[in-house]
Amino acid sequence: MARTAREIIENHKFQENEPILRDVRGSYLFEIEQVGSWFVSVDRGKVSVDPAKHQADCVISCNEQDFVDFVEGRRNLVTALMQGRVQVQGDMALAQKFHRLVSMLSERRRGAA
Amino acid sequence: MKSRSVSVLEGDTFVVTDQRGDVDSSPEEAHGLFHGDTRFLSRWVLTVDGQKPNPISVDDVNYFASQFFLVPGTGAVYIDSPISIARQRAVGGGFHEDLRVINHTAQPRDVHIRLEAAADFADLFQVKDALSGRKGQFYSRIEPNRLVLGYRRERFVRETWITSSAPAEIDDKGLLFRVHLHGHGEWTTSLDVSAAVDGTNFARTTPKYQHAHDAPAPNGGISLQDWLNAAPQLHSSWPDLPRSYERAATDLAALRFFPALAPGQALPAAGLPWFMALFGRDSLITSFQALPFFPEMAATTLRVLGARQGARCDDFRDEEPGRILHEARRGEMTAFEERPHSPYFGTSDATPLFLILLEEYERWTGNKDLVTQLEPEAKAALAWIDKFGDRDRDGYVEYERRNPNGLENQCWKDSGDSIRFPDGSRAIPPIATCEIQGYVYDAKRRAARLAREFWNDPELASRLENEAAELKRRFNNDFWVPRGEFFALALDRDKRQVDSLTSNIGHLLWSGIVDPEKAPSIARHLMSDDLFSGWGVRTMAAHEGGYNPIGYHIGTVWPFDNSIITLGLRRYAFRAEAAQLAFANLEAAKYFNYRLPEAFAGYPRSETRFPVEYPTACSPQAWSAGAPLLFIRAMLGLEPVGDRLLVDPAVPKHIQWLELLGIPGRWGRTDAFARGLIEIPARSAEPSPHKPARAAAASA
Repeated sequence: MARTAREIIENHKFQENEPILRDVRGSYLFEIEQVGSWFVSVDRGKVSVDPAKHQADCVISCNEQDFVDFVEGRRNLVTALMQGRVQVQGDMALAQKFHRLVSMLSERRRGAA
Repeated sequence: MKSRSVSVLEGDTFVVTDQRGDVDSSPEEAHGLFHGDTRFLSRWVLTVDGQKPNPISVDDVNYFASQFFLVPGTGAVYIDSPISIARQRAVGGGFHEDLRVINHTAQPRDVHIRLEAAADFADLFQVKDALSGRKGQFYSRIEPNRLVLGYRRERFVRETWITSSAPAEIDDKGLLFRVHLHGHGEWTTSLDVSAAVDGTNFARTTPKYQHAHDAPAPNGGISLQDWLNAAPQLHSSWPDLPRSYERAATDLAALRFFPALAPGQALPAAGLPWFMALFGRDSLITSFQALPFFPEMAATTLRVLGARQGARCDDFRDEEPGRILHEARRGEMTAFEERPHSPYFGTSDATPLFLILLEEYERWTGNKDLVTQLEPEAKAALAWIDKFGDRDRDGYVEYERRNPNGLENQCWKDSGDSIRFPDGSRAIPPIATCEIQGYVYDAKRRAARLAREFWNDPELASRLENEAAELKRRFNNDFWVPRGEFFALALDRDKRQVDSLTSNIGHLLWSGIVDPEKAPSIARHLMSDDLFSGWGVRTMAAHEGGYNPIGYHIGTVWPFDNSIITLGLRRYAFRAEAAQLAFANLEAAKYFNYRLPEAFAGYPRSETRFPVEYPTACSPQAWSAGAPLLFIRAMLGLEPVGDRLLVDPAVPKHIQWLELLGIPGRWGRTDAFARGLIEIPARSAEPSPHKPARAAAASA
């Protein structure tokens, strides 16, 4: 059964010293339509999640189904952005790092399967 | 019949018009305002009292601006016109157009000025390949003093916003101005055409340039003058050289685009009109060519390509972890995954080239931070070479597309028919081209230095050095064609040598993979009549079965290819050959108004006396603009050695003297001076001889 956005964000365990997050310092606000907002702060691999709205460096907004599909590797964030299914405001480089992180996690799952 | 078009550009925005300044697209005429791989205007036609005026003069003011002078009339016979029309246009994020109508008589006049506008919002792939059929809906909207043309497919929205400073009667097909001209009076309006992309970009949807009295004024960004001022100054007794240099620097400025991933920083798009996008190979090679002149472009290229490095296995995009992208597009077909360019990863040389540029960038600039920041991406690139590049673990990088609609050839000669046996038959993938093995060799050696000096990883450094040495040893056996004494173009699916003689062997000199005792034979082949046309080295030797002097990768001369070969000749101390090749290409530039095109025909110089144009060559093209810069570097023999710049000139006698002042690098700024001392052999007037010995080898 597909997970919800809440389950994905609040239960995700990041690998210690995730290589792609090693040089990342910044904050994301995920705004999931009709579900809620989560503020995610990243400081060189350390990730913290706050289920509240704060000003963030990169705001990613979309509906819940699209969000779940990104994270689970069924939808491509880049084409979703071009299609207007997802909106990104602020630091595009952080959005790109999110896309790569999701792709790498997807590849890791594929390798483990 | 196609008329001569006028193109102006700024990064990934460009406008193609006729001599009137009109956009009047048809399947034969790829006119339009293009931005982000989408055509935002397919019609922009000016009429005066219902008639198209005639052009009397067209000026390309510079790469982003043009002006058109027009008069009403039938055009058969010029009769002194009572009025004239001037259109001045500056392109960037759309365009700004100043329209001026002048009454040359004492009598007042009333005229109707109309601008017809339409937008088909075609993806550039649809324009290029003349594809029909659209899946979205078109609409238009008339707002106070603004015409909006739009296209919507689900939540994909593209709009063209048209405004005028003078009052206009707006309908859904354009703007009408009922103009009263006083005697000797004039009327003006300023028109802004903005390319609006859904979501994130609405807030900054405004043309880059705005009205100014003398010249278009940029709203932001680095001006052309600032760009040129930052470049080293070139002086020479040969006046053609500074002209080529200035043209190259200006074209690189024109082709800059500013990716959202690196705000305020520029990297080169590949070429006008079809390749105004990020291309891994083109951006990397252009940045390499431009390092001694515009080093910051390399940093942006590396950052952006690193940020977009492959992270997963995705057959549709030919993506693999660690692979550097081939091409990134933003049009509708890419957005809806009808094309794989979001980005498409089907290139096998961009990944080693990424490593080569990273190390070369540090050598020139001393910027350790970038090398440290990009350590994960560099290591991922190294892992790609071994894990995915070498698909069958034979020690060579070979390619075969996973997407059946992807690129069949994933080397720089990426047309489908480029890799041919001497009898003209095509090689079957997986294909390992020779120059990619050279790049891998060079990349591993360079990465070894980075690992030892910056990544604190001596173990990796040793492993890479050993692997490179072993690759060199095996390559010099497996690719060597003893009968012809050159390296095969490739190994095919069955590990057979594709033993055609091609320009690729020159890249091997650049990489350093060639055993020293084999190098004289390679240099001899490169400068033989078989490969050297008199203007440059052909992509394929004239005696080969697949040779065609106007075949894209099978006989034409590519200036970028020649610039790499020239540096390779210098690396192996073929000073005279390098000087001759650089000079020949630079002489050819004169025939192209000092702008070397993407490619030109491979006919012998002795037959044509001038370099013959290749029909669909892109111009300007980034790595062709970069070629004169690399020729200059090669002639001056510029090499960073520690914190100093070594200057070791090999300049042909035809250039009496040459100086390059203010070369930026880890030394700050420094100058290079040279006198032309190298004798260049006169070109034979005879056509290329057929070489029976090679032909026999080829058919064996």
